[in-house]
Amino acid sequence: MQPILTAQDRENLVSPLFKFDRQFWMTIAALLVVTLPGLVLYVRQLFLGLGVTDLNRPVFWGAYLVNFIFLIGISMAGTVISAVLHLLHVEWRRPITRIAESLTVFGLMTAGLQIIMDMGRPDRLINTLLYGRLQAPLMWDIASLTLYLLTASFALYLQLLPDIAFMRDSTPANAPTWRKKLYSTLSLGWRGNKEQWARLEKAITAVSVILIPIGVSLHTVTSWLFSTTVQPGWKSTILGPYFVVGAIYSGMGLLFIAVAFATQYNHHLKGYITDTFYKNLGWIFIVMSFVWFYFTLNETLVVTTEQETLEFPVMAAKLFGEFAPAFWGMNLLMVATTWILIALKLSAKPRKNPLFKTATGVVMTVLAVVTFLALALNFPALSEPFVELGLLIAFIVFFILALLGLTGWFQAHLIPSTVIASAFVLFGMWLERWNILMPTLTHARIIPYTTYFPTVTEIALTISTFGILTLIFVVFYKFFPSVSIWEVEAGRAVEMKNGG
Amino acid sequence: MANWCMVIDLEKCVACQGCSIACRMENNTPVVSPEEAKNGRAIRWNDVFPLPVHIAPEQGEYPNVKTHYATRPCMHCENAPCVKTCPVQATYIDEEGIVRQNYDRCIGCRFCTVSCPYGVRYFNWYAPQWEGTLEEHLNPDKLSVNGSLEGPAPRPVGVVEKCTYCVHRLVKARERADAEGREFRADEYMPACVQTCTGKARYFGDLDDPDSTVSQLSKSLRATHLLEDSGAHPKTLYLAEG
Amino acid sequence: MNFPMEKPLFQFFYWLVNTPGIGSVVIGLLVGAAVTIFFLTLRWIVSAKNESEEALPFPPQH
Repeated sequence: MQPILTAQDRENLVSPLFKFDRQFWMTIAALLVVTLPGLVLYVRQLFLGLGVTDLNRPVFWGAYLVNFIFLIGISMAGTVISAVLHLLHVEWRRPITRIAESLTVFGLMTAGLQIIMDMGRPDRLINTLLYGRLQAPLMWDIASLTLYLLTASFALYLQLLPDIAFMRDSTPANAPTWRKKLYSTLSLGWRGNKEQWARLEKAITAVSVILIPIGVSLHTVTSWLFSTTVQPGWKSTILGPYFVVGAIYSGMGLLFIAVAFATQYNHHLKGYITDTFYKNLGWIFIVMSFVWFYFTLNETLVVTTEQETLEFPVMAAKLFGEFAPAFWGMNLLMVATTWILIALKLSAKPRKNPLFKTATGVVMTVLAVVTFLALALNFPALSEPFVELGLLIAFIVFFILALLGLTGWFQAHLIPSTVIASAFVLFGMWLERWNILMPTLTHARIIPYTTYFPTVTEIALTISTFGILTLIFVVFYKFFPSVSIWEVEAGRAVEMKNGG
Repeated sequence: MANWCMVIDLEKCVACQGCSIACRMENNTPVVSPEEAKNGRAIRWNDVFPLPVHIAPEQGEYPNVKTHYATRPCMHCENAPCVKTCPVQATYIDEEGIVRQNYDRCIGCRFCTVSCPYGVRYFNWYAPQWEGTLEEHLNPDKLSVNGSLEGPAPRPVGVVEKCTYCVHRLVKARERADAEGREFRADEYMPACVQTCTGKARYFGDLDDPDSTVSQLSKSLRATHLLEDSGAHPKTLYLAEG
Repeated sequence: MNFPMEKPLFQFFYWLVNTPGIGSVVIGLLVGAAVTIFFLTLRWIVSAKNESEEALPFPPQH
């Protein structure tokens, strides 16, 4: 068997792992600066109590729970991409499976942190182990999360195993001995003979199959935290599928951003993660967009039409009340995302966008944002009925012109546009979780309506969470290759066999 | 076994809030600053508030609206959503129909507070404190069940608390009857709010005893519950006005 | 309308979902089973013996 991995490949994929250069340390330093304030404020919260947040009665759950559901949602990335595409034998998945699976594991770990941050008595966490009641949806969530985390970690480890052995054999002489020892221990004596490969492939297929129901169950069970209560806005029977769809949607967004970040950080990876990946996954992204819209329409239309006395105040708050900016903002972000993704499919040959079109697009974007804020902030001077209507029409015009003007730019820049679309999706999905939790909590039935806005502690801890997620990502990929080396080789072998 | 129930006659209630104050003094509910209270952090196991809480447009514009006052302890639901969702059984229904609270086991996840459709549950956002001389007048009663704090002694930070129908008084009354070597009678036990009520609007007793006052009142045509179709089967009965 | 609690089957279900500690046992069993299966699978993969000890860098294509 001739070597498919060239020296250049080794230079691109393996050498960066042993270079602790300035870029690495600067990244770590920046992430620590972003993460530490939140941790300090968390210690303060531990001492003083949850009173340091803006939680109150009846808003007993807030930013931490929104983050929890959001992070569980983005953990779907690994399952869908890796497992489903593996089972369908889709070749273009090969370079990004490693990043996808690791996002699941890291996302779930940080999601677990959110629950601990939200508990009134984290020192009593052991009570859930000693006195767990099977009837409580929280216990189902703990079970599902633990199972998913274990299975996803196992899947990641399985697919990492041949590469760990490769690292063991490719460690340069000047690397520290503990590092070589780490790889030899973790490689479990993998030799790469035919029988081992056959068994590994069988195991990977089996794990891919069971990952899918476990992943779906986690998001469904998380939705059951809400839909099994009798609170208006949560009492929805389709909350389970809605959460699963939202999870796949936001998971893909995170995957695009993570892959773009990885290729920016290590430019050599661009040779392996090509435009094909963005183009192919972009199709699935568009489909998920429409499925998400379908579910949102369902949820909104049904309740709005029924106008049931106890349910409608919550929906009204979202449609034209104090949650209107968050609700419509979310929908607009998803519209913009879908437009960008479809635009990317419409251009056969991307040409450079005429400058005046891009400039108009940018100006219109700024105007659209300003009008949106003017509408959202509800200034008394602007509340005259026709002034408000005028602002609304102006906003719609600016929004459409912005998207039209920038379409050419999007089409000429595949990866930045996909990243922008993904960022919109992530922000929009975070807003969606906010829109599920907060309207119901702030509009209780026999408690006066209240408001809620995250305090410095909650905002800092949210930032810290994403800082921690990125830190784990960066450190992990300093020890293990971010592109699956054996999969790339296998992909090339398949290409050669098919007459490439 | 008894099935303790409270009946509140809204026709007789004058919304004096004596019940809320008595409950506070009996159960050592912590006080909060005015800013915290404005933010919705006040803890009132028994709350007196106007109904409807949210005036719908068709009910008119203030002050031309129809409102009345209600006083609200815990409903002690027979199918309590809070009990169903507690992951560690820090809240449970005992054999006498009281929804109890175990402050030593509560992990502060606040799932019960979010599940309760009546908003009877409260959370200790900070460590409890009392201002000035209030600290000298704490109720020294303490109820411990299997080593866990369940009674009116001050609770720690980060746990959920709510009206317990003054269950420590039940335990005290039973122990007194035992000590005096006689039968315990249902009318020896009443929560602080029932004892204090200015208008004699609150009744308490055994719903399963057909001769008790609460049992008779439950058959009244005015008898109703709050949010009747919540699915929680609330037990605390209201006698509607009019 | 509520569950027919006089039937022993429902009394069993009530005991199962309501008793503190049962949930922990169930989760412990699930997690324990998962970890055991993963450990055994890894052992099964790595212990594969082959006549030719040829080290392949990627799975042989069929």
